Amino acid sequence: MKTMQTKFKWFWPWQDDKEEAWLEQMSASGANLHSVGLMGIYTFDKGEPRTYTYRLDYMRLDKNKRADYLQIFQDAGWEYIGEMSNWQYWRKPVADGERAEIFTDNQSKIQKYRRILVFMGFFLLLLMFLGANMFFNTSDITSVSSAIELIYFIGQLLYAIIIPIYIVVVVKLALRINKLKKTAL
Amino acid sequence: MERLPYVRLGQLRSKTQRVLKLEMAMVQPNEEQAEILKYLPLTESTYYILLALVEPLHGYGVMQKVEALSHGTVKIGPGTLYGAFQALEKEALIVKVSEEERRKSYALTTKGRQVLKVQIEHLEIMTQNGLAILGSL
Repeated sequence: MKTMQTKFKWFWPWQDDKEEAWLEQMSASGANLHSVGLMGIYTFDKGEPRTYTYRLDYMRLDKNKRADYLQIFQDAGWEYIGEMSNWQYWRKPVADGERAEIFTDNQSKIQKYRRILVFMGFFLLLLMFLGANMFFNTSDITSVSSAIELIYFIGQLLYAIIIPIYIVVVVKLALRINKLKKTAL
Repeated sequence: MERLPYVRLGQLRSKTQRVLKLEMAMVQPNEEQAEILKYLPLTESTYYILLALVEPLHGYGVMQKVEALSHGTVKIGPGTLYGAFQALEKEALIVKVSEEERRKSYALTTKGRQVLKVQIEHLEIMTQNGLAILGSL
């Protein structure tokens, strides 16, 4: 009989390789990834230990890209698990100790992290759009009710947390890209 | 002393002339040449992907052909290939020729073929230089 196990695990975009290693270990201990859900929710099949290579791609898949993208990977023997906020989860059984890769040169690995940065650019625009109201449109703050004032305060507090995190993520990704560039002579 | 048979002086001289001609062309390339040269040097993967696309092929066909052509020295993962297809199509070096059962096939465009040709010329000069210099050590 198959049993399922659900786990929550957060990871930062520059730690995707650690996530892959973790999924590999889970499979080695008999918990094979069954599906991925929203924001860090993983469901595992508890069963036989398996030797898999797990790989994560970052790709926004709209309707006309999707079929073509999945087909290329599946033709090359990769099994699609699912998508979690633009992260595409793939795995392939390790055959004869040979580990397959979805990205076979630094150029394409760099492109993957660039796609995350581009997405974060949109996110920044959204933050600025939402934040503009809170930070700059405060001329008549005394005339608004205290409830709205409280919401603004909570919003500002959130921004004080989100902006530094945002900066850290961008810097970490930039460092990651830089490291990949350096290894290419 | 061992001599490599293919490095003859006359041949080398004509190669040098070609390098010079090419360099002169590169100092002030016309618009058409600049359009080709901006893509060079191609990465090893891109070079082989373009080479494979002298005939229409879909993704997996390209992966297999590249591995065979390169005697297994170059393997192209699906993530790398998907990205390359997108970039090369955007630059009009390849074009989609058909779509069957969710598999798109691509082939070289005239521009793609030109880029490949100029890259091969550069590679040839590089190889000749390498053999001429290291071969005479």
